[in-house]
Amino acid sequence: MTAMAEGIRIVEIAGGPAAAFAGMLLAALGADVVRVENPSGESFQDRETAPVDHSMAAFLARRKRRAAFDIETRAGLRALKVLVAGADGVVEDLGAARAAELKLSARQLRRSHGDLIVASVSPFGSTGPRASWDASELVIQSMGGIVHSTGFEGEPGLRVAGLPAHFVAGLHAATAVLTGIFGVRLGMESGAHIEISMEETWMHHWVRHIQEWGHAGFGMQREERGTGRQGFPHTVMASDDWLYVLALNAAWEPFAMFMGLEDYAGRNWNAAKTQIEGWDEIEPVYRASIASKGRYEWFAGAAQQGYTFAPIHTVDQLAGTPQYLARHAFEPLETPAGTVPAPDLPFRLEGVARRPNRAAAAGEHTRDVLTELGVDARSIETLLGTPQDS
Amino acid sequence: MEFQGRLYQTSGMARRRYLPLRGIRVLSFEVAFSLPAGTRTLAELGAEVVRVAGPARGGGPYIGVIDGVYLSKECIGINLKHKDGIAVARALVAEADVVCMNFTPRAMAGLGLTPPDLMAIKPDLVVLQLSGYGTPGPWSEYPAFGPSTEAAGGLNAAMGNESDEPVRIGSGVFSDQLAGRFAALAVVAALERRRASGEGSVVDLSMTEAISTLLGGQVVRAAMEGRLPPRPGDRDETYAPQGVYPCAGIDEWVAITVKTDAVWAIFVQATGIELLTADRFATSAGRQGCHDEIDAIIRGWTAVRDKNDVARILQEAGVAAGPVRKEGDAFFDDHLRKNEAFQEIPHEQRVAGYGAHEYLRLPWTIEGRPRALLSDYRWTGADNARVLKRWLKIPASKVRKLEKDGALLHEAVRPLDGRAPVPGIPVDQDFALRLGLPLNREATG
Repeated sequence: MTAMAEGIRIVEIAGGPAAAFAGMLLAALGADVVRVENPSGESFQDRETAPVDHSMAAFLARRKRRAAFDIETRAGLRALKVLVAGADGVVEDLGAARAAELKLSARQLRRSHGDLIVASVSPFGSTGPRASWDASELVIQSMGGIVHSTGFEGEPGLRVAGLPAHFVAGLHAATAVLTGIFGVRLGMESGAHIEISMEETWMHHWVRHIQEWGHAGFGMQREERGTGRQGFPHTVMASDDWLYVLALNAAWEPFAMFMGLEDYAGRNWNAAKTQIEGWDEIEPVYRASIASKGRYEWFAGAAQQGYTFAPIHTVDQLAGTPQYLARHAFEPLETPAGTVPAPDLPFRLEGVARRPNRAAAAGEHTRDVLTELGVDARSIETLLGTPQDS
Repeated sequence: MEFQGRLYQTSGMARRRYLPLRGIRVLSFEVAFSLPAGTRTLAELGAEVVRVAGPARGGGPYIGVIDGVYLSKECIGINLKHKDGIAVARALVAEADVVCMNFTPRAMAGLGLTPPDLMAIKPDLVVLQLSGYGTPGPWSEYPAFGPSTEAAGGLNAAMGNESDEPVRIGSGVFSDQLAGRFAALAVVAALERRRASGEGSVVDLSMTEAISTLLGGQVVRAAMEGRLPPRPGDRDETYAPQGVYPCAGIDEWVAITVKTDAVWAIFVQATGIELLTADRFATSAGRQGCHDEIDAIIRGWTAVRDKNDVARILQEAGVAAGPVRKEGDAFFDDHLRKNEAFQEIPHEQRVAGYGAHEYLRLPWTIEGRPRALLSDYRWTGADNARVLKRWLKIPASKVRKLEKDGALLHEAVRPLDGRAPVPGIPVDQDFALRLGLPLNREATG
């Protein structure tokens, strides 16, 4: 059976993690993704970027071809444009000013052919008062929401771990470029330049709270340490590890019985107000009861009751969970530094084998890609740089 | 009401909306937030999305309406426990390009609408099944809400500072929105595969795995280094200083990131804080070692200033900074206004007492084209006659009989009450005045 995006050719112009994540998703779907990066294996963004994080680089590079040459030279730019002319789509997050400086604006790229789909990710989009503002993961998460309501009362709000604002924007970019190509092939649309604002994509992940205010004026408060929004702590230590306790809309009596709070399951404890006022008395029993069993035992028992408990996993525990093992959720990722487990796409297509999960080294495919483009041997040598992150 | 999602102009390409999925029919057995967020994306890109709704639940669809994930879709009400209802559902499946579902696998099996059942009806169908933990697997039938999939997927344990217990995200829909967006990608990829090969497919999506995919860098790092990655809270391992600092007002904050030594010099100049000119702060390594001390100094400067002023002053100098937005702030933001990030949608009947509200649009802009257009929430069965005529050529009289027999459901549109305030949750009593919400749809611009 064919892969989902087989036969689709994508050029990823190396910038930040958003475009790289988009390229990684498209490569996982079966597209031929060529990441063009500078000779040191880093991005073409003009600002100084953080040193290459080898683990992140390996995660983002898998299943791509990596070509490293200097697009700031005339020969390099010409090679890139030939590559784009043969592609169906481009993903980039250089920013409008830097792209123009490199002669790689969407308008310039789209001159190569009318059906090209260019997906551009930037912090705030290319128009509007903030178009030229700089941003970081923290700044985007703060402006898009979530930081305000995450963390603890009386302390600064907390960001979501990792680079989720960049990756969410990259997910949108991958969807945009693939949808655009599909529309071209169906004859519904021609080429397009699709711009994705990281600020706006992030706002959608907090949209209920924006709309609770827009419909009723409701705000949110960060919770007190040690409490939860249902009045009891959601994060509790079981006998072996952390457990997440959530049972929205559960009736108190059966829930209390299930939790081992028999002494508090009577009708006089049914009111939420009574539970909150008596919480100092209930809490030690609640914690001791949870600590009496393992978290998977709680998880399975809660599921039978219809309660949505969950084991709280650390990232190093994920690969070994029974569910992930059964679904082959993690594939061994072959990197220049060794083979490690890594999460794959979160969806499966029945009957379609995944592509080999290998992260190429920086510049590993430069000669192959340039040769395919018809660049002669001498010009290839002038274009080649020395990869640094392999 | 005209179904605006279907409205497209045939005049010059430059002026019409971008609808690459025009002509694609999607039938969605969906509830809650996750899958509806994905199918709304498909609708905004031109797909004809029909939501299958079951019997109404108590309290009305308030949360579904305000979330906005059911916008731009038609709705057909089907009693899936009625044999004629099932027959209608199966007939619709035969006319669809895509069938999506986030009812539990057990529920779909009980209806005889498992993925193999659907593929037997139409072999070139794209079927997408979304659940908390994915199918198959020992947890495939376990119930899940978005927040529990965040915990199981590895996010809570990675959040916060080293000394914190696992921390949960202050959004009830983070994981749902993520899974929905992955669902949209999966459907488009499967459609492209069908276009190229003629083959249908069954795609199974796990919300928990979507969270883990977002943490891929940390997963690989933990495996490579043999220990868990650090939990730096709001700080960064490279950029210093970085943090969330208090500003004037109640619970007002600004986020600041200083990326390089050159930007640090700019930051010191822009703030005019004499204490920060010390040589030991000049390098990133030096600043990392004195982060607490630097934060205390910066807090003294930000605490007496408005968060938007701080962000503007620093951005004008070239420092990455931004206000920490509260729930209502985005509605009054010039940048988002100019880029038409919101669209006002009039309601057939008042929602929470008002005749129209603004909703976030698809966060994409297509150069030279208007932004995607949203249309209002459709109540259960509002489009029974329209959809059954268009898809199945069933006349209105037959639709009425199916409704009368209880095979089809049709819920009368009525004003929808808002939620009662929750004790302890702050309420802005002036929100409607500030937004200029109209009491009636006719009053909207």
